[in-house]
Amino acid sequence: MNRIRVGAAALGLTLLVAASVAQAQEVTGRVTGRVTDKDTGIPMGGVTVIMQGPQGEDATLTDDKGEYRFSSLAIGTYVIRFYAANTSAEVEQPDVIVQADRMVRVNARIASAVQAAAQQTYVITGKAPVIDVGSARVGAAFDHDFMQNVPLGRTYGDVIERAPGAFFDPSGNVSIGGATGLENIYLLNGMNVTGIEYGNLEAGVPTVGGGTNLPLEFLTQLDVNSGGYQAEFGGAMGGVINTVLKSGSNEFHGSAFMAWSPYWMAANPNPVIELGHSLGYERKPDFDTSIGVEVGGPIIKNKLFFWLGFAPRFTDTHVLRLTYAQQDANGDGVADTDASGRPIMKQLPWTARIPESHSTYYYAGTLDFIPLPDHHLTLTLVGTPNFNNELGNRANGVSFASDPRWAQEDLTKVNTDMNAHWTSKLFDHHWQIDAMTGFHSEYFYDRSPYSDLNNVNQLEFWGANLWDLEHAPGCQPQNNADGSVFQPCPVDNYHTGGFGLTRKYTAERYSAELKFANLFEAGGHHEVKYGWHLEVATLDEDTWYSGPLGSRALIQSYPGAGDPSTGNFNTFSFFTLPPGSYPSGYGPAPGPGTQPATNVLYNNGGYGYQDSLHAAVKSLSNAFFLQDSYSPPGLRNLTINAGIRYELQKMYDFHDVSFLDVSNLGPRLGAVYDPFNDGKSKISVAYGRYFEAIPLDLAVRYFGGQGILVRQGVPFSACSQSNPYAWSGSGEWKNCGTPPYVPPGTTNANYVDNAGSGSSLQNNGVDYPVQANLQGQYQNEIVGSVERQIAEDMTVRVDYQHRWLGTIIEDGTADASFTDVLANPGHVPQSAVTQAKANLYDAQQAANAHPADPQALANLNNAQAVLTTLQGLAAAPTPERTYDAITLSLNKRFAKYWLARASYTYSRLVGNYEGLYQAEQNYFAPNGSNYDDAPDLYLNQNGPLPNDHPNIFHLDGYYTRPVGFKGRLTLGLSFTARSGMPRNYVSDLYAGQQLSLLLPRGAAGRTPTVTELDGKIGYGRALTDKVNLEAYIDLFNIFDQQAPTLTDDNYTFDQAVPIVNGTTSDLKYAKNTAGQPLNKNPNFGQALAYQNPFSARLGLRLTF
Amino acid sequence: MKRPFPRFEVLGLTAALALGGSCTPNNSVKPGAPVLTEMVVLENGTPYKITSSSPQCSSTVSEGAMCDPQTDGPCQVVGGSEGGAPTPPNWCRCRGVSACPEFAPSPNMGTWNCGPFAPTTPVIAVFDRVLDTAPFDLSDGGPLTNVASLQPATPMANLDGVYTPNGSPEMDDAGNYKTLLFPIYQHCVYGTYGTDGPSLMLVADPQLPTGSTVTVKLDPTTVLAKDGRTPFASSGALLDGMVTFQTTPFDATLTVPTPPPAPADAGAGAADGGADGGGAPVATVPPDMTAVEIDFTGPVDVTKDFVDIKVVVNGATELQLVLSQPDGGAASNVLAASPTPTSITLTPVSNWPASSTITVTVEATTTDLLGEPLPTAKSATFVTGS
Repeated sequence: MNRIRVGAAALGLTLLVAASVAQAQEVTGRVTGRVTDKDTGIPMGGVTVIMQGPQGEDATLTDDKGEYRFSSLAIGTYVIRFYAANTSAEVEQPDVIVQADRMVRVNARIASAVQAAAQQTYVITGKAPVIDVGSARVGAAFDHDFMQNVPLGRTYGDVIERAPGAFFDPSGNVSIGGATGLENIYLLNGMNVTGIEYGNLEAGVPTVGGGTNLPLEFLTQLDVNSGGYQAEFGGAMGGVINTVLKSGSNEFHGSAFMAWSPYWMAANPNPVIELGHSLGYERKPDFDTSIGVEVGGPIIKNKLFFWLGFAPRFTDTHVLRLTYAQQDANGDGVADTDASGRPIMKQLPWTARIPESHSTYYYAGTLDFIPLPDHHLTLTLVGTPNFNNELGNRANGVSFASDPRWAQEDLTKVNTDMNAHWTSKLFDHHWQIDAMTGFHSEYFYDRSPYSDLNNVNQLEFWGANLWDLEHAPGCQPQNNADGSVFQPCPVDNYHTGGFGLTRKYTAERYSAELKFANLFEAGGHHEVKYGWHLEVATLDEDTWYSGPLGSRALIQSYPGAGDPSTGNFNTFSFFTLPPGSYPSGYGPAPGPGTQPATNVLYNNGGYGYQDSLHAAVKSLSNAFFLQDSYSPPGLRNLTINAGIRYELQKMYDFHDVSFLDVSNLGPRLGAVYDPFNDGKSKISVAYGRYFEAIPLDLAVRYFGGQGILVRQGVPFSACSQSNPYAWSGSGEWKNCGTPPYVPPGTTNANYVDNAGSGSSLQNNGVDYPVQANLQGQYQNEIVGSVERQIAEDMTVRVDYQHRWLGTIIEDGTADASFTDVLANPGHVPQSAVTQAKANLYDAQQAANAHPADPQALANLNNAQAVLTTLQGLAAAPTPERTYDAITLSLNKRFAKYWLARASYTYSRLVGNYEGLYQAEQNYFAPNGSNYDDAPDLYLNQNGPLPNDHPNIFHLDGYYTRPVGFKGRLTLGLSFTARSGMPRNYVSDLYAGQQLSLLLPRGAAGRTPTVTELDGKIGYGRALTDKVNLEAYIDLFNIFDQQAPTLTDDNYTFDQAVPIVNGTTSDLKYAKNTAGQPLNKNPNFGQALAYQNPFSARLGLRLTF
Repeated sequence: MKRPFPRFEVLGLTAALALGGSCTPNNSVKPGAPVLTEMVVLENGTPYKITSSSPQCSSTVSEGAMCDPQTDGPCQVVGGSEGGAPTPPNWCRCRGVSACPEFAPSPNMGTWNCGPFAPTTPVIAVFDRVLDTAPFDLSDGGPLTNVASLQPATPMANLDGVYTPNGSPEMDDAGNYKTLLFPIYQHCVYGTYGTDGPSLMLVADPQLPTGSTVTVKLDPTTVLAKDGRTPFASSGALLDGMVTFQTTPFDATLTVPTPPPAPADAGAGAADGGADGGGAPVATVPPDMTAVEIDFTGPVDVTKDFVDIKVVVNGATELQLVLSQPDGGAASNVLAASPTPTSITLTPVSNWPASSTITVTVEATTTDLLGEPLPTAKSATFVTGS
């Protein structure tokens, strides 16, 4: 429909001079287009183009080719008006959607020849295109309406997985483009809010912190960049997640909301049962309640805007510990099994209830200040104080004592973010300056809610049973006629006593950024961006095992069968070594150049045993980028993006000495072609090299002075209290014939280490040696896309993405001294080996010159170990993680009452290196995983990686239309179907590290395909012209499909080496390292986790 | 009607789809015949690796000559009778090889041993890839009796095989392990020998023939590739999957209590006594419960063979010998026990008779498990003090 209003071309010119510039965020969008004569098609220069958006207007003139461009536009919906100088007619294009860092093309045709007598406004009734014709990126953007009307989780972390090909991996974070969940970067209003320790996003995972996560009501857009991003972005090998907070506008807007998920609207979850063991559990919801309010508006119109949000959330759940008994009906002393060989287990009425509560007080605010046209300041403040009382995952999911106090953790996570961002446009918008400074902070404290349990050693029991531990009814031993004794309720990894590993840290990231953008013509149109980004991240951590001061340790007990005192126990205690010493300087007994390992049970001069480890480490990162988006003069519908990103990262150990210094050069090259020059289609291709920003976990663990003394096989008979079941965790382990301290350089003929399996130093206790010329971790990527608007509101798109790994940074060893070295396994440069040889030569010379100097001998031994390890890591398999994906997606933007987006991704992820997270062990260890811990682990590793889910289908949408008097009905839908996770046959070759693959990776098949249908029904009613009230119900997992999402892949807990290229028929012939047939884990293949059961959420939302 | 996509785009995407779908790694065992890489003769826990390139012994190799255990592998003694006494086929091996080289490296100095092997010596055939398990499944969990043959064949002895698919084939060009945990755990912690790849351990049940030239030969009809058809391949010194060596004759060695060392002046006293006339006094052992050890070169059945052992006091009184029982056994003068299949321990239930001459005799009727008797009776005597 056309409409007429009074206007004049002069108005446009005035606005052009004195526009209140509509632009705000770091994350902004662009619009380009061409104006032509409606009758002749001739480009029209000098046409005034005005964009009116949420925070005002912006204006420009078309050039002699009729082209115009807007950049740095605040995201939102705009109206574009075109004023030709020689006509009084005005053409208006409404509903132009500007999305973060995307460029859309909006062309216009003006009837200049008509010379209308009347001043008319011609409204283009066709929708403006939404295809991003400025970049080759792949991914998805979700706006506020999508997040409000589709049934989704509460935070933006829950929405990321709706991007094509994305899904939650077992880390609780979303895998993008084949990477693990720890390889994304999260930007909030342009500021990096990624978790400092692990590179993750806070996702409610027990004992793990993370980056800042926020409720959806605070956001105006979530942008998931899955690949193809330009040089401006870096530090991620997965995706770049841009979130944009709401901001104030010239009108007051806001909402009040609440959501409530009661327990009685949720189905019972499948219990997790461990076959062959007597403990299982199920977690049930009590309630999940969110309330909140957010409001924004002008303080001074067109100059100063505010937006504020506050949304507390309270979630209570409880965990039921379940107990089961096996039976021995035939009295042979062996548990009876069913036809498939699984132990027959009967549930017992012996349960425990562990209440859990979570409270988060989300708050956020922005202040936008436009002191002058073309100058803009945005201030942002965000916080997510989070308090939890929950079952810690140290309790291993199931094995905790009947006293729930022992299983609970008091976990505090407080994130705070502050950001100031200044933007200025100069020289008629041809030069833009962006300056940003930010502060991201994380506070984390994980301890027992009961102070007495922080002062007691944690006691783990292995090979025990619930009768001895708890006298659980139904678990009485059965005395058989043949003399055997059958224990119906065996348990492993049973926890009692104190809290165990306790952590407290403060992590901070200071960031600053200065960016410039220049628009100019030089043999075509250029948009050149260049800038500098600085980050200083610190991590200040205290870690300790619970227990009395002076005897803090974790105790693993193996009581003897029949007579507990005939068993033995292991201890884990912290130590630090003085600088200049090496783990190779400690041996089983005092000797020439070695002290007994047990010396680190004692503290001397601040070194040795530590009640608590304190490590303050930091990282300094600089990044420089330069990129140009170039359009040739005769081919304005072609954009060539070329850029380079130069990243430098230095990390510092707990002595503030730099141990890592990498320089990364990441090129980017891409082209985008709009074949019909109408903004309704594109063909794009891009190549890039993307480097990892190394999180600080590596520094604090391996360069924070952390050492763990592990003593194995200490007999209970040597203890003053020899019955382990009578231990209270009050330091009894110290009264078990602890070996004496032997001063260095002396011998003690009477020295005996009564740890039957020896005492060893782990994690070095000093800085790991670092390979010379260490290269950054990176991957390469090629993406190609074709996108077409096939209907006015609908686009279809096909993407191909290919990613392959370059170098990685990992710790590893190949020497019998188990000296770990930080290196580029598989890509150790010859120069590094040469350097290590030179170091060995020097150490040899020094040792020859001073044969009696123990330090010279220690240096020599260490130099030899480092060289051997580097040579081993140089010969290690090339790390591989190759991702190929083809995605077909269809997007129907909101029109005619409905919106839909569907995507199907076929992908394969194969290789031998998972990434920064190891799913098999739920191991958060970026660059310090177990991947290279021993050469034995390389075997059978190549195959489908845990994040290989070949088929992923997403369908999301909603339908909303007026009903009745001032009413509105909304129906939302979200559907997912995803292939299962590859499964393996795993053994325990490296004690405690379940990662040795008995058969080639993926040989055990996959977990079942996961499907889930979620729905939403809402009814809204306009209370006034501007106030609406909506009530809704979200239904999650409507069909209550609780398919296993993770299974027990531990085929055996024996030490067993891989069967290279073997098949399942070989398993029954396999032997452990003692030469005996394997003891199969009865729980192999059983589910460890299931899909969440059906649940419902009731909500109310008042908007104005 | 205008095409929604240009044709070349569709073609390009189809090609990309085809490329993307073909990237799954092939984890199947490599095709072709499993190559026999080693036959390890495991002599008293020490592995001697015979490979296809193991040489014939040079003239410098002879019993007791010096060798380097780190570099000198077994060499073949080719049977024949050129220029002298017949030489049976056998293997010389360098003594001094460490069974746990990771923590106790082999010394650089050793000596050649060209003698026969114990009849309990297992032979382990090592392959470069996993084998077809279908022929092994016929054994239904028992020892594999169809994978190798023994020559000379004897109805009393079987050659049993044990298949282990999970060895550690990661070796560098110098033949050293690239793996770390495997050799440490297997060799050093458990003291068992782990092979360099999938293996068939061949153990004679109850033993190899003694004093013989024996040949252990793999069966090409049951030792097959995963395809179930292709027999194993071998070459050089391992040609036909066969290894031939000598075994020791059945024999026994007796170890009786020995007198304590004489005091420093005892010799002078003895010399004086000699000057005074009369013979030197016979050295005596304390009349305590020190055991007598009888070691055989091959396994014996103690329940049968202990009756062929005589303990005689002062040439007249024969002490009763009773086999040790788990609960302590019946009253007797001497308990016999067999801590290993190749030894018998005689322990008196109380002190040996004082001031007596005690003679222990293993009669020639004693046999090994294949019924091979001792060549002669073996005796040893000791004298107890007062």
